[in-house]
Amino acid sequence: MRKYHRWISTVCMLFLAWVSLTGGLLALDELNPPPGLGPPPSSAAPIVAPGGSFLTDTALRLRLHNLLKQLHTGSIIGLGGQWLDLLTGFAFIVLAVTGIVMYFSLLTQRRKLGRRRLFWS
Amino acid sequence: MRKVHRWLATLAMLFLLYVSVSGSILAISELVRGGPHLIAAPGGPGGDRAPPDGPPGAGDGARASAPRFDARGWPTNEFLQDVHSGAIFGAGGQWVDLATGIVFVVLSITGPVMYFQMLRSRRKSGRTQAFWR
Repeated sequence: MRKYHRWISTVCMLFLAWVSLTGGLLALDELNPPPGLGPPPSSAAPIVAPGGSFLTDTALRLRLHNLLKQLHTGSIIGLGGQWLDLLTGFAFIVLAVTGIVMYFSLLTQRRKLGRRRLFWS
Repeated sequence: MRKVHRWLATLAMLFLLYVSVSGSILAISELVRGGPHLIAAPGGPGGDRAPPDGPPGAGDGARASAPRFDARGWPTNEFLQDVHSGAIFGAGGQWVDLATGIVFVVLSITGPVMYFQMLRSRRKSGRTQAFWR
């Protein structure tokens, strides 16, 4: 199990970092969404940054949003990028599942030995 | 380093799994339907959703008001995007999604750093395998 976790994370680490970083930026972008994306005006007020001319530059925000989305989904390099993105998604799922299983199996082993801490180095 | 990796991964594991699964479903949907859906920017390259009228930044709810399911009953890309971004849970969901993204970034840095540290210390003691138990 640990071997699979390490194999997959080592082989995919650059893709994982890429998808994480662009996804984080996209999430940040959508917190104050460009026009066309946000919730209906009645449901939530947009977050307004003081003096945020960048945030109110519609054309720039939309271009940035589209670029981030293309980077995050891999579509900026075409269909091949989207397939790579999907494989990275599968790698994330496998890492999340193997990570959880490894953690609980180590926790169980440690408890049998009387070590009760939830985290260890 | 290892402690930070394990703490973050353990605390965030369910969110990580949620974002991974919803992202993969969205990636499949965009591969099948063609995508991702881009918004037409004024003066920029065309997208497949018209820009709204109204004040910049306010949003017109184009994605929020898009149908959740298509004629065959499959979830639409817009709905899947809202699920993936946490927007279906409101602004709180989007903040949790952002926090999960930051955790992902930290894990994808601490993971390789830990791996290369261990690899180097193993190599010094003559163990040259790239992977071990």
